[in-house]
Amino acid sequence: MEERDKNRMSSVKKLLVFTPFLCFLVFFYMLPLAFLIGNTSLTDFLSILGDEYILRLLYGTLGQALLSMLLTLLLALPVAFFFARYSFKGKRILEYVLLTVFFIPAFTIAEGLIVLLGDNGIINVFLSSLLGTGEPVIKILYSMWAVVLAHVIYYVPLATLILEQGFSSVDQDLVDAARVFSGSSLRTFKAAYLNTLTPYFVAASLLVFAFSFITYSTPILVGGKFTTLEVEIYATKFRPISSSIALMQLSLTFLISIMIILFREKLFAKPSAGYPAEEPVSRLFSKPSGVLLVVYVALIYVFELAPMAIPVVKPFLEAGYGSLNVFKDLYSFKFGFGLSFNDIFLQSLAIAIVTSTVSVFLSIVIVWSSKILGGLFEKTMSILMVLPLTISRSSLALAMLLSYGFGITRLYGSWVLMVLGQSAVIIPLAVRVIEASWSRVVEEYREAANVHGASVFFRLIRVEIPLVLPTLLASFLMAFSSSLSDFTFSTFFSTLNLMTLPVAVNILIDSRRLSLALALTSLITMLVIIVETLGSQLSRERLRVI
Amino acid sequence: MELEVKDLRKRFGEFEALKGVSFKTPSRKTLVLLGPSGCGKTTTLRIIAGLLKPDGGKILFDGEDVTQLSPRERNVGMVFQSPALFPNLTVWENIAFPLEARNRSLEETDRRVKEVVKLVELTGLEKRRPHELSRGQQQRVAIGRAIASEVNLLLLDEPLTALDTSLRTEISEVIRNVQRNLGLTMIYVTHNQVEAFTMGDFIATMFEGVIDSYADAQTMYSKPPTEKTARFLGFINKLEAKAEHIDSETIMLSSLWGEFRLNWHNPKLSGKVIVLFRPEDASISLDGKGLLEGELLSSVFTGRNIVTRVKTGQGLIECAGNDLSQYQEISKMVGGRVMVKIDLGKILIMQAG
Amino acid sequence: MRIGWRVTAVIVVAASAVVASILYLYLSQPKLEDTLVIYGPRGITGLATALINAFKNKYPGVNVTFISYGMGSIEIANKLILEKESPAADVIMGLPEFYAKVVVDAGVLEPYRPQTISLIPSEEVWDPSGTVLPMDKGFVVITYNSTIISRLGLPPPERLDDLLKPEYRGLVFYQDPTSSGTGLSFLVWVLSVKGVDEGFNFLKQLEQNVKTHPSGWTTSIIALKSGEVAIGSMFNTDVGYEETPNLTSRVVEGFVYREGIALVKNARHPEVAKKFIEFALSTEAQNLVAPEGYMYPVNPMASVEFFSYAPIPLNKVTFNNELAGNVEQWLERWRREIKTG
Repeated sequence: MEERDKNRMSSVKKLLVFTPFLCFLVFFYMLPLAFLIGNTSLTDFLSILGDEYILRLLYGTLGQALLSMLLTLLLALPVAFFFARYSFKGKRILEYVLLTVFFIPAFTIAEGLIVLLGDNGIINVFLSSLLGTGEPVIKILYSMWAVVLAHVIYYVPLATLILEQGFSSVDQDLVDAARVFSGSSLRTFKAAYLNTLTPYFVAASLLVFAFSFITYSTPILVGGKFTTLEVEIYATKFRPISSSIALMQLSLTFLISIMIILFREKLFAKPSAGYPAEEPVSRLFSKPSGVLLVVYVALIYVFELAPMAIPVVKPFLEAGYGSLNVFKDLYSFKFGFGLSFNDIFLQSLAIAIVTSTVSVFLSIVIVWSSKILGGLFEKTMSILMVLPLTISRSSLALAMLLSYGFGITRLYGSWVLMVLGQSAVIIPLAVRVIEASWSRVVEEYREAANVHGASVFFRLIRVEIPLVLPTLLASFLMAFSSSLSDFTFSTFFSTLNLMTLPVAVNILIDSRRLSLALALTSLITMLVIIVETLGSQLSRERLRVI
Repeated sequence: MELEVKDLRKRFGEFEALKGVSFKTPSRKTLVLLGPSGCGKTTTLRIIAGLLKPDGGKILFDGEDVTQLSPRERNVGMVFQSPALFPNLTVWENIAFPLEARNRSLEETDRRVKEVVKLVELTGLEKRRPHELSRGQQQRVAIGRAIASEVNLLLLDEPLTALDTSLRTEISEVIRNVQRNLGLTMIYVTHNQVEAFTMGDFIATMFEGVIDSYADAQTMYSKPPTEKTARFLGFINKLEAKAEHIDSETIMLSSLWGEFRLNWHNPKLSGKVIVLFRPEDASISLDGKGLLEGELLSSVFTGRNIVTRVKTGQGLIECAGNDLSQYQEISKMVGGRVMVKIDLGKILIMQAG
Repeated sequence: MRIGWRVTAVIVVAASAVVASILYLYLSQPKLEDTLVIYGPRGITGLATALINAFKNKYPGVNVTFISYGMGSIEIANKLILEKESPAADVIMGLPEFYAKVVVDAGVLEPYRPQTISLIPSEEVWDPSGTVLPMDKGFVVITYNSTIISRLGLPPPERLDDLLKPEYRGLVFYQDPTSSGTGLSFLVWVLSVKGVDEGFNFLKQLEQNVKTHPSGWTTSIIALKSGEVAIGSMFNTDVGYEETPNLTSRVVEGFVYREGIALVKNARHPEVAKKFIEFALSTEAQNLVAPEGYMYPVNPMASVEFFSYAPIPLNKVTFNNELAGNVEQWLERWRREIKTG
């Protein structure tokens, strides 16, 4: 019965504390959205609904998202089961390695696929010499299937993580009882697992579907003629039709967000009583199905890691280049209009630093104010922050272009716009991570601080922030690597004077200088991996996606 | 500082936690709020601290109404069940916390913290962090922190409950020491009677959101004012009788088991009464002489004493007054008729009904 | 109030990093003061800069800024139209012939007749309304990598229709017209010669031979350099370019791409703007055209020594004026039918 009185504050004070969050919502999302709506008319919007080309794109986007989701879940299930039920030495490292695939930039995977599956790629060269044909054997690059493949590779780790939690939360007593009382193993599965697993399954599906739906860099790089709504918004960005497409895309992603929110409640129902006991992995080797499972997991690892490892490693192994010549070429490459690699690198770094700092700072303010307000406010803010997680980035970028790029302010070409855009998608994630840590760590000291004379601000500086400092640093690093890998806002907002590393990668690929593109991607990926590893050491809340 | 609590009321949803709690604590004294879990004593304490707002009633510090003030403005110290020390701060910084929070100067803080560290006997440990301290040491820091900013009122919420028995003595010493030294008014909440009597100058018992009795410790121990409190404090044996006054100092008790003359200083007592006594004040007679007669149902050796249960004409009586050495003899008497001796000097007589 | 050393350290480091970053970003950006503002596509940044510097030498104390927002010629023209009510620009440069009508009809330009127009031959003046003055011109031709073509034993391409030859499969490129001025010129060339529907049919067929659509001139050069592509649309002045020494052309036919400069209506600095336009057509300014870019001056007295190596197409196709005003639809159609078709 440890109730705390949240209604001590007057309504005026409450509104004051709520203002920063309100300002955040307005300036980052609502104002741009208003400009987006204002830039299109009802007739324009309705006309795209009847536009055969746009509808074709919509179905295509939906279709590949569905396929990505199904294949990802299918592949991830056995792996999740394996990790949840069996223990062995080095398990944590293996899990971490798998997860790495998820937080490296998406374009790394895409490039890995280009190297693997191109007409002169590794696989085709191998297969065609094996089969004696002169022609490339596998031709899925630059098509929808390449996009789906990239998604599956990219999202299997995420799905595995979520499903693993599901398997781990199954009540062991239930499993044992089911085994004893039911005849077949299918029945056992249904009775013991299905009920508990379902919300996790749905959550994983929704997330993978949502992320695949708003895919951007992947179709640009490996989609060929297959393109998605998100990319179309970019391609038409200075033309009126883009606003209508963006609005449609936003509505769709909004719907998906609502579904995720609804399921979020279900996902965190009561935890089970007894945790399932982990068996030693050696038990698997005693039966053929067990051996099959282990082989399967090993294959999945190859499947996941090859496309990631290749872009990182290839530049160092290039025959005829020596080990570092390709990096020298990259450094001296002229990106056009007087831009050098140095300029682009420093700009990316500077923008990442500013974005991370702004994001973490605003996130602290938001979490702090939600904790002070508590009650309904806290709940509402928590839900509202889930919405932007799967928002259409192209639509947001376009909206910001219209509102701040050429609208109330003329910020197009300014780094401020890029920081704004990147922060808008990073802050919701940072808030989730910081909030989780705050709840876990800080709450119990609140009263002790209050009773002993701490003002709200004193408590914040002296007790709360020091306690969540590791998580704050982890969030900063997470924001930093997100900014470095951001493809969408970079391409939307970059101009001659403002260019970031991902745009440089795009230019290199566009110019068919794949080896240089790989070299640059290798650098970015290694940087991101280092930063993310540091971050994960600092805080375990980092991986709370939902 | 004199604390007065007037008619406190508090609801949590449908549940009425406090139904009108009132009491006074004289300055520089310790009041113990004693009661079973869930009776509302912790809620009362938190309202006094300012962590909860009451639905009705007032809190007065030296006659001044502080009910609307925030915890910060009330300048009280509080010790919780778990120390709740700030893990990122050292012992020194934890104790200095209330002073820094109130913007005291560095010299003043320095001086005061040194004093407090000495008082709670933690000299030498100033630079340690909470996780590097033993439980007992942690609680000392908590106490130090609570008194650091020259508070007038110290609130303690079951500070010894989570400690091992050996530590309890130690920490209760520290608390008493602190109070004596600084002349604090203390409100101490516990469900443990031993603690209550060790620490309290005054004791208020609380049941289901209301204060039942209020008395100084000695009186509360020997002559608790109400039956409910008496039973809570161990007077679990109950007999019926009739009382008649002989004079202002003496009454005549008559019951099924005889008539007795007793000194009793309550002229209002007459007619039907109940007699309450502790098991420790009743024993099985070994020489056949006693007040009550009954069947000895069981005899249990608890290590500390022998607990016997006797079925009398007036119900079940529990006795714990026998010496450990008498165990063998008493065991042989189980199942048969015995006589129960009662120390009449220690009984409670209250009006029935 | 005491703050722990850890928190202090983090705040100090973060603050320094942020301040340093912001300073760097601020200083690396061009500043926009109250100056004469010239709009133009990013592709003519070099020429614009050179003209501005020369202009400032001539008229010291005057501030001039060129803004492209990284946009192409159509986009910056559209931006000008969008700002009709309160124009930010005083002058627009690099306005393509095939889009001029749209801009003129939008009513955002002011007709102006500089004295120096007398230096320009009448056949170079392509805007009948006299609003858009000619500034420079270039020739889009079919170029090819002679080394690769001869190694493959293929005949060099000469005309548009040659590009459809099956033996050129996988060797052809032309720039994405939605992002490249060169690509757009190529598109307009095809449509001018064949008409719109026939032209798009041609392009659809051409796709079978096309390897890629680079996003711009820079990326085309790079693709040519690496040998990924061998035949494509480039400017005649790219022939023999030091980065692509094997690039050559039969220049049997080519498209004349013409750009203009114009005064913006209700410009904030009309007097200085007029002076600038005057200057742009002068021989002194026109002398800068060739060295700074890939286009030719329209002033016959200006030097073209710089391009003495470049072949001029024999058959010069100019923009078919009847098609004026439809560029947006063509771009949309190209994206839908060709790029993603």
